[in-house]
Amino acid sequence: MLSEKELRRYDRQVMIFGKKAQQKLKKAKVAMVGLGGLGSPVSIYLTVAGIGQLFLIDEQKPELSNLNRQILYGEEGLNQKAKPVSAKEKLKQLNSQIKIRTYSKRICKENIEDLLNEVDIVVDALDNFETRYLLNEFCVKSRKPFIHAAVEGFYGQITTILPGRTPCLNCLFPNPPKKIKFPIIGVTTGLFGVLQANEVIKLIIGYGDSLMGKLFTYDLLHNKAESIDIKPNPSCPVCSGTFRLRRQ
Amino acid sequence: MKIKVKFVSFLGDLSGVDKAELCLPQGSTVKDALEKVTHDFPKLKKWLPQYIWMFINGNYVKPQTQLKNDDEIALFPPVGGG
Repeated sequence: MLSEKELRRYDRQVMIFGKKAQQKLKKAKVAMVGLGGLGSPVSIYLTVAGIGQLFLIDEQKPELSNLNRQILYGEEGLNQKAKPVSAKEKLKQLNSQIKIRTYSKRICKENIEDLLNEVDIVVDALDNFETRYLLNEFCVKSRKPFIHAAVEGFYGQITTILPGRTPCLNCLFPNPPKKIKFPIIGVTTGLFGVLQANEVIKLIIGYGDSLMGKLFTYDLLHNKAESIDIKPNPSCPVCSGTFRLRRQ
Repeated sequence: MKIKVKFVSFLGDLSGVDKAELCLPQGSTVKDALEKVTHDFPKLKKWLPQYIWMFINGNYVKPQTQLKNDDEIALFPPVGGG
């Protein structure tokens, strides 16, 4: 049940989708894997929207060169606390009612199940494809929705992966991009992080159209959007089995 | 046969166009199309084929994929930051 205070707090969005939907947000558990440029806006907007429980996962500490885009952190506390710990303090200021679990560790094969087993949705806010593939495999195996975004410069891409219904990350991008120190500006991570938070919210409350089966890209420098319909790879080594199971 | 090519983001800056149409012989592959693209748009040479993600009708494709008349190859810049 939503309290009187919660109803007042979320009044403007309850006007859009109703109390039942707000209740669904309150019950939801969402994991943010990566708390950098994308993870900052995603976690801020999910916190203020009233998501019940956030799992914050990142092993790094905020550095000076992060501050052009990682809006969870400020000049104080650089190189001191791990990002999930600093992020929790900031997010609690925004909404003290949200439950936040912090994991200051790198997600890997050995711990992924323990970290993510409980969550309803996984948000890919990572900066490398190696770990993205690991998350993708876990989400396919455990049938968890997986919100992918990646950015560079003024450009980014996003898609919502629903195992068994949409292509997985491995169908889409079987070859990772070259690992580089990528150029980036805060407006790009800001935009794509907000789009990811929006996907999470719509998925939980079942409202509007999602980016399932679509690869959406936006070039902020030239204001050009592209959206293409994407299809599963029938011989994908990661997810083709989920489609076979569904057809049986 | 006629093949369309769509250039997304900075690939469009380099080529100077968002879309192009190629005439290729029957039996051509994506690799053949990319060779024609780099011939017509030499500024893309540095990027093709190793620094792009390619889709035809929503499917990720490899250079050896065979083309059909009217296929549209969409070329995306690969991005991995977050």
